[in-house]
Amino acid sequence: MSAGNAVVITGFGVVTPIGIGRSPFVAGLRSGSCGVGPITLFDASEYRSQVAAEVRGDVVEAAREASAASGIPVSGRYGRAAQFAMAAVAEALQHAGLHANDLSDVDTGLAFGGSTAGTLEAEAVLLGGEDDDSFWREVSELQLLLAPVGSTSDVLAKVTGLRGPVTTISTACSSATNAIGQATRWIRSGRCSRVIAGGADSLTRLTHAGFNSLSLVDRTRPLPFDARRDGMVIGEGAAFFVLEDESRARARGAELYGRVLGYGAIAEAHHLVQPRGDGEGAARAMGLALADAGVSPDRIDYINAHGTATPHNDAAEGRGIVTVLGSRAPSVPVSSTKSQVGHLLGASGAVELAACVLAMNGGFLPPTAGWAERDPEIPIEDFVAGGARLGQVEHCLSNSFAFGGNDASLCLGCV
Amino acid sequence: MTASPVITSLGLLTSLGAGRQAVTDAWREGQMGEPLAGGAIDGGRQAVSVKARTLFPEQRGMLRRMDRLSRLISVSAALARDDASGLGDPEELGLAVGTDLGPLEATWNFLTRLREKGPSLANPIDFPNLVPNAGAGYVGILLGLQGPSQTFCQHELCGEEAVAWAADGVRTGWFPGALAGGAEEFGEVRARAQNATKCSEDQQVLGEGSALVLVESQKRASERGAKALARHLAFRTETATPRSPLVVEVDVDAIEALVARTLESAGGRPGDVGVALLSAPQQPAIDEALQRVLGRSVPATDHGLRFGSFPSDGALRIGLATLLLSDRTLPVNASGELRDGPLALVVSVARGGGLCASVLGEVEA
Repeated sequence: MSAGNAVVITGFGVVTPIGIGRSPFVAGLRSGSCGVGPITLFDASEYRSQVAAEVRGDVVEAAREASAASGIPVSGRYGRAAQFAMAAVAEALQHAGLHANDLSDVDTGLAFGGSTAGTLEAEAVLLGGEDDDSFWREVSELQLLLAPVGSTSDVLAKVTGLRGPVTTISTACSSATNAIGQATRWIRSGRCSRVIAGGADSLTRLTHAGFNSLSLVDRTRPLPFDARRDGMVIGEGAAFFVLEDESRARARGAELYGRVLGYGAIAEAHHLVQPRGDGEGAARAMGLALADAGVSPDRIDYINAHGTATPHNDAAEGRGIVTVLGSRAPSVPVSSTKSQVGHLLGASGAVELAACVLAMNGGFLPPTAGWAERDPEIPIEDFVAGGARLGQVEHCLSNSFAFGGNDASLCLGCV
Repeated sequence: MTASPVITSLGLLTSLGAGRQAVTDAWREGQMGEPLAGGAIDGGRQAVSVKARTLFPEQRGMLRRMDRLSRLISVSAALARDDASGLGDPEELGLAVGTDLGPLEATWNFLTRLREKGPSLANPIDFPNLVPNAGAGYVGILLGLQGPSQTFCQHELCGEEAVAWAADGVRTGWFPGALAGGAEEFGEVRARAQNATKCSEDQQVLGEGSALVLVESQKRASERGAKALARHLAFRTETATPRSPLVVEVDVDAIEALVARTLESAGGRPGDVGVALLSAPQQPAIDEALQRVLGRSVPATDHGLRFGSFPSDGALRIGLATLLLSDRTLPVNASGELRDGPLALVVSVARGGGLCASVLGEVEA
């Protein structure tokens, strides 16, 4: 178990395909709704799959109250992923009872995870033009400057006015989980007493085309762990947390929504795209998160799986979970929030961690929406099928596994 | 648990050559990088593919599938593996790579093909190369590194930050060692983008390269008989909020405060700093901040002119600092100045307001 300052969650905000803000999101989780629909952000008629889990509605308008309360000027100036990020940060600060004016010490940091944040706007100019030169004639300086993934952190640093460390971690689908892990390490070590941590990504043609080319996308909806599963559906959104040193949070009278107890991260060193079939990498990441937390596997009440709905991932993750939980595996509920919000890529770990915190505080288990048919290759019994159900969660794991064999897991505990 | 992190191997792939000895020799001779058309410095464009095939003779298929940035990273990882001290048991090692722009040229090519050929001909072999952590993924596979793996993308901070992450992991006992550094490729897209934005990199020579160093605990190094070349003493990063989030603005007061705090963390005194390795485009302003903290002018490297500049070159400056700390006779710059203290100070300034500083120290005999 790692020594150092205890890390607590004092606020969080979300932008997801099933709702912008915590209240719509938790209602969506409880109802089992699915945010997948026809792609509207670009013409997808030539793709194998023409669906995605887009964020519907006006994010700037939805964030108006949080923006006013937190002092974060959520605006449409900076592109889609940055809008999601600003809206989620504003809600997280409001939830934590903080204002941007409270963040200007050098002990407050920002850890951002993303993969394609910033790409959508520049790629539109390139793909909409006739040739390469037309791109350089038409692209704006702002679109170019916002294209690197680290630019989303710049926008957040600017609007929050913070003076401490700012980092961007981009490890594909485990980006946000690693960012939250890094934030946890900063607080434990005393480098920071407070960190805004999370992830954001928007749907892009780049990722939609890429996953289509790999035949890893479903044409209708994702069915994680189901025998009928045929791939992921790409989603978009953001989630950010206010993580604090527990003693500082208690001293200011903050409400505590959970503890980040452990973080495990490994490289599979196996294949750039496919996980190890035996789930050894997944098991190692989960095992390290538990060891870091000082929590034994028999105290885990729920696992929010990576659960992409791709044939290889779900089978390998299932085997990894059995390796970690042993004989308890049949009795521990496992679900995939991607069944409802799609795969948010670099942001997925943050949104799924938010689902865990809501489950811990709300006394329910988020479902694997649409699950109906058992796959004998996946040795898990309880996928929280048929909708959310009541359940107490004291300790849970949230998994994120990525291209490059980059596996990460977080262990949460209730307060 | 605390362990003292030291640097024991260097994998340097630069405009002055590939490998520790080649770079040291060229640096000592005062060589300059070979300019490319457009003024950028050649980071070994032709040599990289050849070098990769020599260093990984069993992995030609994987090398063919790689994008150029991944190849740069893989070559420098292999150079660190083959450096005097090697890596030891790779399975227990972590890995951190810093890259601001990631696989920019490959991403452009993928999107251009998408525009010209349509979605049905998007290339499934190219797509996995487009995530910024592809290079780290390949290195993990090629060298069997199974510890934590991170890819940092915070603009001009990312190279230094990656090395600092490794040092922090060692210091806190998270892992016994990690290969860490940064890489950036140079190509037509980057050149055109730099010209189109005009905001941050005036007055500099563009470059490319890759530098990975092995950071490990002193205990691990001693047990396997590896020679420590330098100690990683401290790192700190802070943010100077700029007027615009997307440009580099140099805040001398903020740099002064950051450097003072970092030096204090390292337990160093101003008089101990014997060499400065600063972000090349902002070198004069950073130097002003250093003079305030240190009370004097410190010999500074002229790496920007000789290697060219790239966003993650903080890692290359860490590698160069290691060379200077392990060999007192190596000149700091082409003027022939020598290091005049036991500490090296590396400072980077990023667009978006990011600042960071690292302090490295020489290893006592």
